[in-house]
Amino acid sequence: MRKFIWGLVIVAVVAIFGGRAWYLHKQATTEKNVVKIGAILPMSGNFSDDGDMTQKVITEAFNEFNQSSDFKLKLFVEDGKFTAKDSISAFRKLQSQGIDLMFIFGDVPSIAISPIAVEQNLPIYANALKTLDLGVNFFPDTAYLIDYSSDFVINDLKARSAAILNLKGIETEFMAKHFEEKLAEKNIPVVGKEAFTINATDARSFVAKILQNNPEVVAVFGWGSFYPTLLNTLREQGFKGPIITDWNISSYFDNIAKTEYPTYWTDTRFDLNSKDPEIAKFVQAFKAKYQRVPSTFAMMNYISAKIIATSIKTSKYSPKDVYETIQHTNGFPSVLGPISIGDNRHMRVPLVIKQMQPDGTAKVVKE
Amino acid sequence: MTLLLQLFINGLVQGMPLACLAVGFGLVYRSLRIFHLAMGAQFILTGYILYALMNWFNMGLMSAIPLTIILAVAFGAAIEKGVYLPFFNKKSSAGVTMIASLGVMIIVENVIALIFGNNVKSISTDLEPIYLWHGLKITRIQLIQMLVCGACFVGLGTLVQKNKWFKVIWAMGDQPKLVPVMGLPLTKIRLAIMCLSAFMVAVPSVLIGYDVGLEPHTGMNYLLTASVAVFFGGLDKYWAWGFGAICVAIMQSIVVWQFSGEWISLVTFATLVFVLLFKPNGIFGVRKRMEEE
Repeated sequence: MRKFIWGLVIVAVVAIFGGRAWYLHKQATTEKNVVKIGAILPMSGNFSDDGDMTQKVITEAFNEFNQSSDFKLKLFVEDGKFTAKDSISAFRKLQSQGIDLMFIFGDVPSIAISPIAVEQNLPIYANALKTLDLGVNFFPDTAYLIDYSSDFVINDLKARSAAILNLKGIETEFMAKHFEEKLAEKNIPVVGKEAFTINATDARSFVAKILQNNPEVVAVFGWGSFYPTLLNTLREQGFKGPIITDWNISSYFDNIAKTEYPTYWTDTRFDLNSKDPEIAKFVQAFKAKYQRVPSTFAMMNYISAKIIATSIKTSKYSPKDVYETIQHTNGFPSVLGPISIGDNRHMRVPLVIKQMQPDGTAKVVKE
Repeated sequence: MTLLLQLFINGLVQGMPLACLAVGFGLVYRSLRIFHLAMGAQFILTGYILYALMNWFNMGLMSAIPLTIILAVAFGAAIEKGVYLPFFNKKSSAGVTMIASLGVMIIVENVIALIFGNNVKSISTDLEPIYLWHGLKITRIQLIQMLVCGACFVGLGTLVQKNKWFKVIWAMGDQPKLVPVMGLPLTKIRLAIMCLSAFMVAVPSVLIGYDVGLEPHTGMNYLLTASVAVFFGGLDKYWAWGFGAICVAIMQSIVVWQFSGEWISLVTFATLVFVLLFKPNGIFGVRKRMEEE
């Protein structure tokens, strides 16, 4: 009896693996006019919301493209969980499926995969702040973002002192450092500086410490559950001056106290209440289809997918030429304004400074 | 000096909710001998129940809180009936039960993320009124946290000392195997402990959730800090759990005075290891004879 059961198990295992191999082989031979694009997205864990939204918008962009094209773009998604280990596993799995082009969400996964990509001479496409060794970033680099916000603090707010709160992490630490350097160039002192971890719970002690030297402006760089707590605690503890932060704030808009005190952030033109017909159309279509509102990330990833699709067509499906074509993207028309890829292979998107209004809406104060 | 005093007060206030969480963890660990990881799930679930009652069923805060606590206690009872008791009846080892407890936490965390999403949810985004006293600041919610959680902690501590049934619960922690021998209803006492623990977790969960918002993955952080408070103070003394909680909370707050806030966890756990090296049973721990262990 035991031998019979073991026999059955072995037959079942052989049938499953054999069937799978046959299916993959059949798929490879029948899909000659298909360009396979792999996406390593955080489909679980802290950033799954962004991963889910990214999958939706890329699929949307590819579907639009496929309707008017004789070859098709096919998306293969793997969960990188926003960790280095899982992203590398996802990368290897996608490679085994014969992926032509790889899109990676976020800094941690793209930094982890970058050395393998260099070793294999395979350009990768990411939306990350950190510059890739080989590939293109569909995201502005940190310096570009901070140059814009620090310029606003120095020239528009005319701040004479500042304090910085930043999440402990690669990009946010760089943001804080670059912001401090930009202020130092103009002899503006940073009178308080604190780093917090993503699991932090007590904001009041941080805030009490950085407010003791009465900074005129407080810069906050971060995300996670502690980030809105920190912004709210600054106001709760009596800070009435300007707060400047990065565009992660748009993901936490519903969680931030609405006050008359000025809170600014660097962002794109994307706004859920935008009067721009194309943005409004995108938001409405997204809401109708997925019963939720899209984020700035979603809009940018949608545009990135469109650039990838257009470049694949222009380069006649040659992966090497795709890389060249994407690198030379200049003035790609989008609802966020003309998109280009800069010399450091980062996306250049027109930036604006927005201010939170007491009614909870956002208003562009600098373009 | 004002900053140091402010940080001390912040720590003191935070110590009260932490003391309740320490009781929630300590009761189960001491009496049922279970490293109650599912407490992290109870903590986050309670906050999300309150959020759902207020946003999905349009209940007011004051009417939603009692129902939230009742549902949270029911969830604690369900963990006992559905997970811990079956493992106890099968005489499973503590390690196996701990893994099951971890499983409960992971399941709850993921179900919450599935239903509510991974992004932060706020119960209230209104700014809290602030009270000033000689340059020291305290918000209304901090005061409420301190008073309500302090009352729960002291109230239960008094009951444990004075009431016959609560004495039984505490005594079970000393000699769990003697409970059935003495003809006491072991299953009911176990259930009572889990309900009591769930209540002590639910109260700070509601208040902390209201204060700083909800996120599905924060449970483990609070659970670990609560367990540190229990071991720091000493496992066998109820009031030592509160002492441990206040010490840990003050320490976490004061770290910011001289160091960056990123070192809070390191300082907390390093202190615990250091204390346990010299006082293995915690600050107020009592050394037991081998046959008592």
